[in-house]
Amino acid sequence: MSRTVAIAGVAELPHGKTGWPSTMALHEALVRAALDDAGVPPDTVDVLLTVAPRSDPYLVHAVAVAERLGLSPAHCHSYEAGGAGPVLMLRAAHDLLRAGAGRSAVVVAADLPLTGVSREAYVRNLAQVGPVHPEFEVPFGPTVPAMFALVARAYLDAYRLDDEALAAVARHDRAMAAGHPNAHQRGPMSLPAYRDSRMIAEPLRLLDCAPVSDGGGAVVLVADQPAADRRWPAVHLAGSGAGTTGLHLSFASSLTEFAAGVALEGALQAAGRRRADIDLALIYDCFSIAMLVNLEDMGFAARGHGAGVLQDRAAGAAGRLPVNTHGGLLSHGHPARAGGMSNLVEAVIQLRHAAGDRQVEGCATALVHGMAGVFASHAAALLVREEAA
Amino acid sequence: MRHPTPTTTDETAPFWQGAGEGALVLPRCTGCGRWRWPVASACPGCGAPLHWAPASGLGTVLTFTVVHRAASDALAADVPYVVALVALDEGVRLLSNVVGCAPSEVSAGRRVRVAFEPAEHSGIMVPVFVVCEPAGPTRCAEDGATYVTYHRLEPHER
Repeated sequence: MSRTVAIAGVAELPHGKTGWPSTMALHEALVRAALDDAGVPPDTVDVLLTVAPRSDPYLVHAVAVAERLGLSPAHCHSYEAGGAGPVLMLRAAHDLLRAGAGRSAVVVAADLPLTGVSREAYVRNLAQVGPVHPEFEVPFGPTVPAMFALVARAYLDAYRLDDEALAAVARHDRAMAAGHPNAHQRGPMSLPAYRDSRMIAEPLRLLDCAPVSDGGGAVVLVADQPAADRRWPAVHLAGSGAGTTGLHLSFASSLTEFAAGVALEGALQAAGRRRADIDLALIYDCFSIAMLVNLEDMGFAARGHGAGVLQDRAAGAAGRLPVNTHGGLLSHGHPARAGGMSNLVEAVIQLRHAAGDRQVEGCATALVHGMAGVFASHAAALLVREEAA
Repeated sequence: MRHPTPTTTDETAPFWQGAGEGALVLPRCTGCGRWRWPVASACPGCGAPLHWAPASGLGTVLTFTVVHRAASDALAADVPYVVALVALDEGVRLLSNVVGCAPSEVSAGRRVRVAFEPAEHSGIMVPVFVVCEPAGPTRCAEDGATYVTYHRLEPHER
């Protein structure tokens, strides 16, 4: 008989410049907090999945994290999937528990690109192992923002738009982040302030780029947890999907359409749900342009109209799809290799109806999207609150 | 521009050797004749082997960005510089730079032709692009090999 697996615990700490003494200390704190939140004893952890920070030289980072925690989970793996990692780890942990691989599972991703030795390693490594081809792209000096700027220029040209479409994303996320205590950037952002921010790679300005943040999060899944032991309404993974085009923009078949929609379609099919069932979408937006293209690829807006979804919402219009209620990567923060973890944590908090002032009323189904590289690879998960499962 | 040196492999030696001789040399299918990029052992369309063949060096800017924050300290002296995706007439795309003009002269749809500049330290020549004059070269012939317009930038043009 197949087992019931639920997300029982989450943890997140404030993003920004944090001063944690090591990435391991942050991982330890997040895992302990998530286990506490779930009410699950550490010795029940049979699955531990991590993303290795670039600064950590361990052969298998997950095994080093387990060692740090004094745990011996049977299944201990690290993922190389960029910002799609958190969603893919969630799926893997879920499937392992469903298949009988253990009692509880921990998924954790955290990084400290602003702090100590990891900052230097981050800057050095991003140039070496970023989404830029070492032979046929590196010689021409494209930064990561420049790669996204190539898509942004193509997008604005294709739909005859100006920088207001990009500003709408940055301003939407900033307005959302104002209500989240863990968000990195919470100050208000006017259109003039957006336009005053310095140009990084035209048409992308500083405020089109997610900040480099310390941070991360952890999630605990439990198999067949007795109702009496639960501390929160259970959140279930109803279905997930993935989609990939290619790693380097030089070889992409389109500059304005990628595979986020493929990932969402897979998740909808697996979950037996429709797009209209989604109450909240948490979209991977390391740059403002990523939000627009991903929203449109997933069918939440017509081509060229992604900004409208966000502008209506910011204006207080009811009935439109709530997006990135935590501020997205753009304002909640982008903890380097742990990018996308906050999307997962926010979904669980919203589905518990524990999001306070930013709560999406009646939130029962949430989409968590993750993306690797320059639109290279995508993952989508549909999480549902217990009674909707 | 102070181009960072590419991490080359033996497999792509013909590309860099061609660049050193002022030629844009790219993989082409021996079966269906289509140009292929990136490098592979066999054509992803028909499965026939690929060989290296000289391309026209002509293309069109698909999209571009003007970089204000450089990728490295070495490149900081070159900002603002233009990174562009160029659709070659052969049907494949190269990421490269448009050089030899003000960034404001670059736009999507602009015709460009290949030129070559040395990478820092290694001196490996890398393919960059310069804008064609309005009356410049037209689309290359279908066989790609007859209209080879190689152009090596003189120092004053860089």
